[in-house]
Amino acid sequence: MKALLLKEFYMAKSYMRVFAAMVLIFLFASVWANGNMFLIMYPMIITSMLPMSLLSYDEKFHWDRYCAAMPFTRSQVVSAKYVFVLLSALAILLVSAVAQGIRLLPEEKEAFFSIISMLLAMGLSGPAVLLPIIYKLGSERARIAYYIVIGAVCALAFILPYDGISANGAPAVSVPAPLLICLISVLLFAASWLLSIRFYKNRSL
Amino acid sequence: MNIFIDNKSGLPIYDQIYSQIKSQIISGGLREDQLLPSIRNLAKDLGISVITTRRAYDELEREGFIYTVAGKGCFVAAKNTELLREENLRQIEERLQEIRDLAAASGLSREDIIEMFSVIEEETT
Amino acid sequence: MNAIEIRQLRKSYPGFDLGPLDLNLPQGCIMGLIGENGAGKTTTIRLILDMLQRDGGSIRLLGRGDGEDVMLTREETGVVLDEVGFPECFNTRQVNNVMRLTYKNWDEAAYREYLRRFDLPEGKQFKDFSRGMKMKLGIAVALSHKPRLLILDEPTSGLDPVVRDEVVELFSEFTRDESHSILISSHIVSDLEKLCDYIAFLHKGRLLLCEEKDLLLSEYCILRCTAAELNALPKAAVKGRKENPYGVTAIVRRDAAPVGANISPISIEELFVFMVKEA
Repeated sequence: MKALLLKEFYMAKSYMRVFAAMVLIFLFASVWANGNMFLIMYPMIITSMLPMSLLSYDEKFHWDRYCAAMPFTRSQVVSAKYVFVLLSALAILLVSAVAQGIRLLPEEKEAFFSIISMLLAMGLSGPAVLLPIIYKLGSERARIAYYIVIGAVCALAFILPYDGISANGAPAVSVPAPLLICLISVLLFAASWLLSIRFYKNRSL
Repeated sequence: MNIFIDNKSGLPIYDQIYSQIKSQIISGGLREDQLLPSIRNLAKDLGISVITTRRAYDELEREGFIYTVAGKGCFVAAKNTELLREENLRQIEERLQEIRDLAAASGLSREDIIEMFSVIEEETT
Repeated sequence: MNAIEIRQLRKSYPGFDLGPLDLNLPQGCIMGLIGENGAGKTTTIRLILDMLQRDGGSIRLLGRGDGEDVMLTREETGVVLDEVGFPECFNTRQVNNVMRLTYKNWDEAAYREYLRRFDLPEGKQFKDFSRGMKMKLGIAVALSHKPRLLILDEPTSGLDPVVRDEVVELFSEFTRDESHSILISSHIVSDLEKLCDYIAFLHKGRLLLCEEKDLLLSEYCILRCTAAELNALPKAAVKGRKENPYGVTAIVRRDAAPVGANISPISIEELFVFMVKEA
């Protein structure tokens, strides 16, 4: 699997340079932009959509066929993708946590954990929904689903409660049970992982 | 050892190899107990199929011209005088056929041929 | 042992049926799969590589059946497909790094040697390679992990004659070792004619024949005669015919050709074209 992760990394490095720059800019801006949830969420949204773009490249380059002849099980091929999603989501989560920590801690603890949990949910749910669809149908036919999910996730980021420090000092954003949200996201992700493996095992290449 | 394959002649390739090795063994070009190239190496070096070289070697072994030592390879068998004699007889028969056909074409009779043969015999003694 | 054993292989698509196919590739041999476009060569190879689910039959690779030591078989099988599937952003160094982590027996020195031999540049991205260069890289990778079996789908297409000759030579050398075998599909029949021990003709999903190449070449010949003379021969001995206003050219069994007739040796390409026309 190391080989597959390395390949994802090489491709990400090559194709996502522009996005990487945008992510950095947004991260930077989110430290000061008081309350613009979109700025805060956007880096995670972009990063979470990245592996799906890479999957469509895999198909375009016929890497998926080539890979089928290599000593990897279909299960490993799918898992490499999920691991990559996880690793990149955690990386952005960490950096966002630092950025938001600078802004919110130590006073607005509730707001901080709310935001972190929403970030995690954002980072995992897009792929969790999309990847099984792509593994079942292929990137081309899943394209519509891809755009729907991006749209939905971005919209969600906009309608999320406005994050501001309210007049009386209480946090203006809070999400009920951030821990529960994290747990659900992770479980959804895990279920998606297993489903993708089952779908891909039966896919014709 | 020299082997020349003619792809265009229509003669089966294994036959060409078989004949050429056989005649070199008979003529002494290949010495007794000499190691022959392996079936695979011969095939690859000549650019032909391994199955063909194997067939040629099998035939040579069947006829007693070569023998195989497991793990070592194929070697030229001792010159079997009986085999040699058989080979010579075969060649003589072939040429006699040729002579007969030529004689018939030229209208020569059996007596004419025997006479020619006697003249040659005298000349060589 | 057989490197590849295929029994009653079947796969159906709307409008196309493959099989039932029976194919045997003995270890140490090279088999050429010849067929026109759409004959089913690529489908057969994809079925062998388990990229597609078969509808029936069995496939054994290197003596192993379904589910037996699959990963070991993949380590020992070198594959070149007609589309070399590297990501376009890769260069040869990155390919090396990924392959090194992929194959247990990755031979980096051999890989570099092939790169040198094929004149493949170091820093260039795969997307800037010509078709021929892409093929050469695919071949270099397939040969660099100590495979015992090569499965090649049109590996010489896009290569110029000089490089094709070099590549065919490489494949021939590969089987100098008797534990090495090759299954190669191509429609450049002249390459296969030089290289192969066995030839299989695939046409519209069916195997027209699968025989030793040298036997085929010595078994059949081209006969030029009149239509009447041809019709006098037993039907089973005539494998194909082409008529023109001045006579007829036919492929017949050598032993059926009348003595003294105008016969000439046949090439595999001619044999195939004739048989397809007849089929």
